[in-house]
Amino acid sequence: MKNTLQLISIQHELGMAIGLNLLLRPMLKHFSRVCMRRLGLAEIHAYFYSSERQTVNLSVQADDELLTSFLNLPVTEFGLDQSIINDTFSKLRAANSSYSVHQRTPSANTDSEYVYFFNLGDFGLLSLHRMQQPLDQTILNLLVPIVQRLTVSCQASIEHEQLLQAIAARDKAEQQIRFQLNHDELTQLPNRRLLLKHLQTAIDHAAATEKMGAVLFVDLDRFKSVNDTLGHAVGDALLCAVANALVSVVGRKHFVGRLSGDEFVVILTPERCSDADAKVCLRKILQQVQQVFILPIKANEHLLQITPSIGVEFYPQVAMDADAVLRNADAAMYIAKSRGPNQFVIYDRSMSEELERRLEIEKQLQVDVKRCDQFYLVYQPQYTDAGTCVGAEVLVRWYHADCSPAVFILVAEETGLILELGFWILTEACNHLREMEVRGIIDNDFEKLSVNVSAVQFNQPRFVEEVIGIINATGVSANLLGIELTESALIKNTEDMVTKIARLSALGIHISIDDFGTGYSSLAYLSRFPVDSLKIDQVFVRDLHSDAGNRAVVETIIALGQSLGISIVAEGVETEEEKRALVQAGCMLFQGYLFSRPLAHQDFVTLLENGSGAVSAIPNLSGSR
Amino acid sequence: MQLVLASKECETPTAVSLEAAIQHCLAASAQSIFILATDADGWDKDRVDPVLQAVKVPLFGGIFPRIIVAGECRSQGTLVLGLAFSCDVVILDSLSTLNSATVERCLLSAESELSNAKTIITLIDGLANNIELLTECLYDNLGRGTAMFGGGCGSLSFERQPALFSNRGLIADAAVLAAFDIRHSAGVRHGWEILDGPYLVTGSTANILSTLNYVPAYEVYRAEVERHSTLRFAEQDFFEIAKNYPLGILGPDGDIVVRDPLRAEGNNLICVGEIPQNTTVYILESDRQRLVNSAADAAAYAINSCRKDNRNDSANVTTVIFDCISRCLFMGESFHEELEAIIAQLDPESIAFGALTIGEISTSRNGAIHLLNKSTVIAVF
Repeated sequence: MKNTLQLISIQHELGMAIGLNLLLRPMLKHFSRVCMRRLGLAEIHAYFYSSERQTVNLSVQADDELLTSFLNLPVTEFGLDQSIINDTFSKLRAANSSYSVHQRTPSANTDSEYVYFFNLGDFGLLSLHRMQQPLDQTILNLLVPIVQRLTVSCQASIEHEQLLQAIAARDKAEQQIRFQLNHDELTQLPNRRLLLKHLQTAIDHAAATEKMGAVLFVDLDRFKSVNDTLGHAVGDALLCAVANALVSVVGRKHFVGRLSGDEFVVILTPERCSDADAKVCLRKILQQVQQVFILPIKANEHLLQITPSIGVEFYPQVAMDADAVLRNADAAMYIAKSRGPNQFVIYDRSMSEELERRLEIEKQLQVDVKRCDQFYLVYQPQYTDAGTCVGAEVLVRWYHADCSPAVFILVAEETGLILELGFWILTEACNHLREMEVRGIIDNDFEKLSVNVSAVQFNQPRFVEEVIGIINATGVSANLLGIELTESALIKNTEDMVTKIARLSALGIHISIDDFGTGYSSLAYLSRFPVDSLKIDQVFVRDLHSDAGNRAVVETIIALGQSLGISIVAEGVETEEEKRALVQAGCMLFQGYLFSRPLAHQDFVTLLENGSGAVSAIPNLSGSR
Repeated sequence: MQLVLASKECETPTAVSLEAAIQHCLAASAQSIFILATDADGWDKDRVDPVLQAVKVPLFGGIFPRIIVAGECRSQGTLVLGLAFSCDVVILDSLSTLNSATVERCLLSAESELSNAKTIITLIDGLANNIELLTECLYDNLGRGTAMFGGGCGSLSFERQPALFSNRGLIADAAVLAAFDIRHSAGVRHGWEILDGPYLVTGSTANILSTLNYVPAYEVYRAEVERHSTLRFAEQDFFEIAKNYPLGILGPDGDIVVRDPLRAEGNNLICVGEIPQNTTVYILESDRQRLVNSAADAAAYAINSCRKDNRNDSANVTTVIFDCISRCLFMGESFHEELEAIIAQLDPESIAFGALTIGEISTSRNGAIHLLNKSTVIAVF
């Protein structure tokens, strides 16, 4: 009777210790602790098929998978060798036995250890370790149904945890998808979708609470040059650096997103303040944003000096949704960009009109490029310091009443229309050149007629073939033709570029680098390409005689040209003082209003026929391209 | 093994005297300090903390109902021992409010101090809760390589006061673990035998026993004790009777862990230590001679184990005794016989000291660490 009550109480206590937690480890730990105390055990271990992430499996996942230790009590003991465990497990399963006993006596002075193995179904093993005295047979018998019950609980816990893991994995995947749906992959900033949603909420909130907020549309100036010259990896790194800088400068209170490319948007959270106060706040944030760009930004190993163009629109406006606010900020940014780098502009209604005009230009340009009779060429003569005309730069003009070359060429480049237009310019210039050759007005002083070629055009795979085709078709002497490239067209510095330049040079065509000194380029390419001349940008020529900084740049360029045997042409020379300073610095060739304004084709022919001399400039011309 | 380099009793329970005793031990190049103090000396934080905080070597100890000095039981006095070995002292604060996770976190943070210890002298606030949670977690985390012994500090008045010495000062509701890199051999006995039972514990929470065989625990206990004796609970203080008839939890090998019923609250019995639900308990009895014999057995077992492990340097054996205060209360004037029986087992040259404790702690034969009642724990170095 006494023994029976004890057995019943053990069975009851152990049975009640099963399944008190849904999770496997705490469930087993609780049971093991009760088991150790009640049965006087020294150790207890549970072994399962488990992956590296301690995910327990109910079945073998791979043929060579082995049971591994899952729970050890005490934690400092690690049970038996894996080979013994798996061998015992296999034997128990093969014999369909409930348990087996191993006795160990490590040394004469140590106590015997009895190890009792119980199978946990087909998926695990439990080992109970007892010192000195074995467990009574009656206790072993009562443990059999207890362990069977524990097996069911383990299976339920494992399935429960697998379900939890599946749910967690699905949650994680959904979170990731939601994140990807709403964020930009490169910078991890909110994307257009989330940005518009946030902006709409901010507008609604501002309208309801009579507060005022603002949207900053930030576009990086000349970002394309970074991509073109230093590669997309550097461009991407720069975008990430700018993203981080913007987030850190505006803080958690406001919202930063990336629309696309180099376009970022900052949504300033509405403040309860007057229009005047809102503008003061805006100025402060604008200054902080612009501050980001004062020092060079690190992108990979490069330190890049980049500036933003920022367009600003306030909200809420009457009957205006997020799209409209963003569109207005974009329009203001566009205007800021047209005013030069590092500008910001607050939107007003006239800007939309300006944008509409740009769209109109684009539409008209598409029509006129097909016809080409709406364009004509003019010639900007180039002189020696003695006043001898040695050639000219070919410039294109459009009959469209009020559109400057600076505007329509930019539109043509952005829309790709420059390819057709560029082909026409080159063909027309060669026709004129051939005509001048045939008329015999080109003397020995005349060196070349230079045609500007945009980076977009030059980077076309068949550009050289096109040039050869035009030369052949017009019959012009290639050595009288020059091609002016900007740095950004060249600085990719790929083998393809080298080959193209070499082929053009081999034909006798002069190669000039236009606007030299304004790009991101290193000077390394100069030694790789057969460049014939460098054209000093008029920015450096301006007030050269009184501007020490410009003088230093110009002198450096001229010294560089001299050392490499490359001729130097100064652009935009307008005063005698500038010319004198250039001559003193060693420059030999010039172009600019001091010598001549751009001339119509016929006037240029006349100029050459007369040898040289002043010719009246054609009216209504602005810009230099 | 010569554990003690020097020892000194405080002449008076004053800070000056305590400091002098500590300095005496340090002058003998003691590597750590072990203090055994009696509750009667009335130590308090104001007097003790400045002295303890100034000590630069590891320090641990406790205030007990009585202490054992040179084989004699003292109800007054404080003994300062300078030990030949250094130790790491780990303190677990707020013992009564700890749970399994917080104990494990504390032990994990003290892993470097505890993981290589071979012996941990464990002193606890004997009136705190969660002592068994602590012993269970200690075994779970330290395993079989570390053996422990110790006991509960505090006052027989059962008033909660700071009763543990440490380098931080006098502390309460805590456990002080002194981890040594030396081995000891232990003998544990209680000498209590089955009078009546078994009873199935059908209702209990921690140390509160509610029902036995689905009947209110106090009713069952009272009826059986009164059936076996002439004592009557209506006529006497509960503990005056209960100290003669403790409860015992039956283990799988027939071994019994004693649980002292301290008082009755309604129909519940409040015990020292947990009585888990669904265990089988008995009412126990003993007499003076059986207790004396069991104490002698404990000492003999510890000495023999020490010899078996070839660690017996008879000239330098040090014996630490943690004996339950309720054994002393049960035996009254005859308690000296128990101490004499223990000392008789030891080499005459050996040093013996210890304390009468509120609950004893010892590693069991299977490795687990138990909180015991009414037991004698003998540790031999």
